[in-house]
Amino acid sequence: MTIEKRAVTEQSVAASTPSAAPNAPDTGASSLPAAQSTRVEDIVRPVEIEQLSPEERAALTQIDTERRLRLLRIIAPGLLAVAAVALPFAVQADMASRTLASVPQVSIGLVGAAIATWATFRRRVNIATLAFFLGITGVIVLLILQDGPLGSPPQFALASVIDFSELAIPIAVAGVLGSPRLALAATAFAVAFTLGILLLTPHSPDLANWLTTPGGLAIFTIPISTLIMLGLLLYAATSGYMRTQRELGAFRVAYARERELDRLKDQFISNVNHELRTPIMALEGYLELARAFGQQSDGESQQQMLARGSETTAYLSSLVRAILNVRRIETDAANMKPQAFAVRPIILRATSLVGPREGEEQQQRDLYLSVSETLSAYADPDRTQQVIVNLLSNAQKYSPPGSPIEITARQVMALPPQKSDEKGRSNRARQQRPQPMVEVTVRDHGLGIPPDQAPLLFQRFVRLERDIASRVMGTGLGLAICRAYIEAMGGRIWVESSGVPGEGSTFYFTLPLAQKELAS
Amino acid sequence: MSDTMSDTMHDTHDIKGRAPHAGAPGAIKILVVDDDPRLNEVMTKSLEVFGKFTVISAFDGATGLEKCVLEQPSVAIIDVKMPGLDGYQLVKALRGDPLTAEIPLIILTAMVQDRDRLTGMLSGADFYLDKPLNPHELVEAVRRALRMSNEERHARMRQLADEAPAPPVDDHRGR
Repeated sequence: MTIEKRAVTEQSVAASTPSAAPNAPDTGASSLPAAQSTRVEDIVRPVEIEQLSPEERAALTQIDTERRLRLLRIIAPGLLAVAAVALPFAVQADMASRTLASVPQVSIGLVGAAIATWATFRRRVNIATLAFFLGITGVIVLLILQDGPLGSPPQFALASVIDFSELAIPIAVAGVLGSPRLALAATAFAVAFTLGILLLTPHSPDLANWLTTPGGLAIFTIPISTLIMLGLLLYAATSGYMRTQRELGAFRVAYARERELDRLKDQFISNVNHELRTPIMALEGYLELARAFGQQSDGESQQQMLARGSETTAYLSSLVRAILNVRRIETDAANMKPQAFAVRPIILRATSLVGPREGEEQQQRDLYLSVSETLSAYADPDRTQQVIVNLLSNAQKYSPPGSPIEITARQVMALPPQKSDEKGRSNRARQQRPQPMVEVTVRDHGLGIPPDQAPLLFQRFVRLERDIASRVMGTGLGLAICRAYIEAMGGRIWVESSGVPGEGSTFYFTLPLAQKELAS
Repeated sequence: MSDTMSDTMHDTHDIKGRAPHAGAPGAIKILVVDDDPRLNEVMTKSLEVFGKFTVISAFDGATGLEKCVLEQPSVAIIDVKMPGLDGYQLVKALRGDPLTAEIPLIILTAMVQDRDRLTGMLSGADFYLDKPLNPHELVEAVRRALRMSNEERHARMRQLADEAPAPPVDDHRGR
C-alpha cells in the first residue's frame, strides 16, 4: 500500500486533454424507454415492483387503512346506536326478571362500539378494529354462555341452538376489517366454541329428545358447517381482494415513478436548454468578433477570437454528445467485457483525464492517492475508468477550488449487490455471504450532500436543487451512468455524507476482486 | 425617502449618468454583469467593437452592484443566473438605491418560461433578453435602452404592473 501526494496543476492537466475533457462527468448515456405498441400480455401481466421505498410502502398501507376507516365510520357508530337503543329495554327486562343477563350483554357491545367509534374518528384503525371485534364477539359469547353454562339451570336448550348462527358476525367482521388469516382464526374459534358448549354443557330435556330423533344431530352439524363455509368463503374473497389491492398498489407505485421520471426528464430538457444557450451565444459572439477584427485587419485579435470560438465549440459538442448518448447507457452496460486488471494504473489514468473546472483559475489542488500496487479487479477497465473520471470530476465541480480530493482503493469483505432473478424476487439465500471485493472511494471537501437526498442522486436526470440553482453545469446523468456501469459489473455504488458543508462527501463503489493476483 | 430628495437624485442622474448619450459615443459606459467568463468577454468585446461603448465588467452580483454605484454606467446588462447575488436580486438592489435607481437595466437570461420573464420585469428591469443573442442585437438593445426616456420607462413599468395577473405585494420598483 502506498500513500502519495500529487500536486496537480490543473492548467497542465488541461493541456494534456485538448478537447475539454471528452469524458466530462455528466456526459454519457442512459436509456429512454422505447416507444412500444401495447400488447395484451403487457396488460394482463401484473406489474412487479422490486423494491418499495419506505414512503411507497407507507402510501400503500395508507390505502388499506382508509378503506377500513371508511367501513368503521359506518359500522362502529351503527353498533353504538343499536346498543344505546337496546340498553333501556335490557334494563327493563332484567328488572322484570330480577336477574343480571341482558344488561351485561348490551354493555359489552356499548363499550366496544364506543371505543371503536372514538378510535375511528381519531384514525386509530387497529384499535377501532379490535374494539369493534371484541365488542361484538363479547355480546354473542356472553349471550351463548348465559343460555348455556351460566344459565339457571346451567343447561343448553333446543331453542338456544339458534344463538350459534350469530357467530357468523365475528367471522364476517374479521374478514372485512382484518385479513384472510383473521377470518380463518375467527372461524376456528367459532367452531371450537360451538363444539365446546354443545359437548360440555348438560343438554336440556327438549334438546336431548331432539338428538335422539333420526337426523337430530343435524342441529349441530348444520350451523357448524355453515360457519366453516362462511369462513372459507371470506378467506378466499379477502385473499383475492388483497391480491387485487396489491396489484393495484404496484400500478400506483409504477405510475407515480413513471410520472416522477417524466418530471425529471422535463427538468433535464430545460436544464439542457439552459446549458446550451450560454455557449451558443458566446460562440456566435466570438465568430462575429473574429469577422469584425478581420475586416479591421487585426489578425491577432481575430486569431484569439477564433481560438476562443473553437474552445466553446469543443465544450458545446461534448455537451451535445452527452445529450445524444443518453440512449447508449444500457447497451454499454450489457456489452461489458470483464477482465482482470490492475486498479492503480486505471485510477492514475483517470486523474490525468479530468480537466480543470470551468472558470477555475490556475489553482493547485492536492490529490491524495492510497492505492495498493497489487490490487486488481475483475471488471471492464474502460467503464471503471469512466466511473472514476465521473466521480473525480464531480468532486472537483462541487468542492471549493484548492480543496484536496482523496482517492483510496483497497480490498474489503463485502456483500455483493442483491440481484433479482427473473421473477423479480431478490434471491437472498444465494447472496448473503460476504465476498472479497475491491472498494474504491473518492472523497472531497465540498458542500456535502443532504443525507435524505443522497440515494436520489444515482437516478437519471437528478440534480440537487442547490446545484440547479448554482452555476455548476450538469445534466444529472453522471452518477446514473456510474450506477448503471458499476451494477452491470457486479458492484455497488453509494455515497456517505453528513450534509455539513466542508465535511464533503465520500463516494464508494465496489467491484469483484480478480481471483488471481496479476503477474505484473 | 422624501419626494424632494428623490427628485433631486433623479436630476443628478440625468446630468451625471444619462447625459453622455447626447455626446460622443465613446463616453457611454456600459456595465456587463455575467459570471460566465466567455460570455462576459464576448459581450464586453462586442459592445466595444460594434457599439463603440466603454465597457466595465463584473463577474458576480456583488461586484456588479459596487461598480454600478461607483461607475454610474449609462446601461447595465445583467445575467440572471449568478452565484451569490443573482440577477433579479441585483436589479432589485439597484432599483432600491436612489443612486442607481434610474440606470436602464437589461436582464439577460437563458430561462424562457413566462413566469421567469414576469419575475424579471417586475423586479424592475427595463428589457428582458433571451439568450442566445447575437452581438448586433445586443448593441441594438443597449441603444434602445439609451434612447428610452425616464417618462417612457416609468409608463412602461406601470403598464407592466397593471398587466401582471397577480402583482406581488412589494412595490415593483423596489422602493
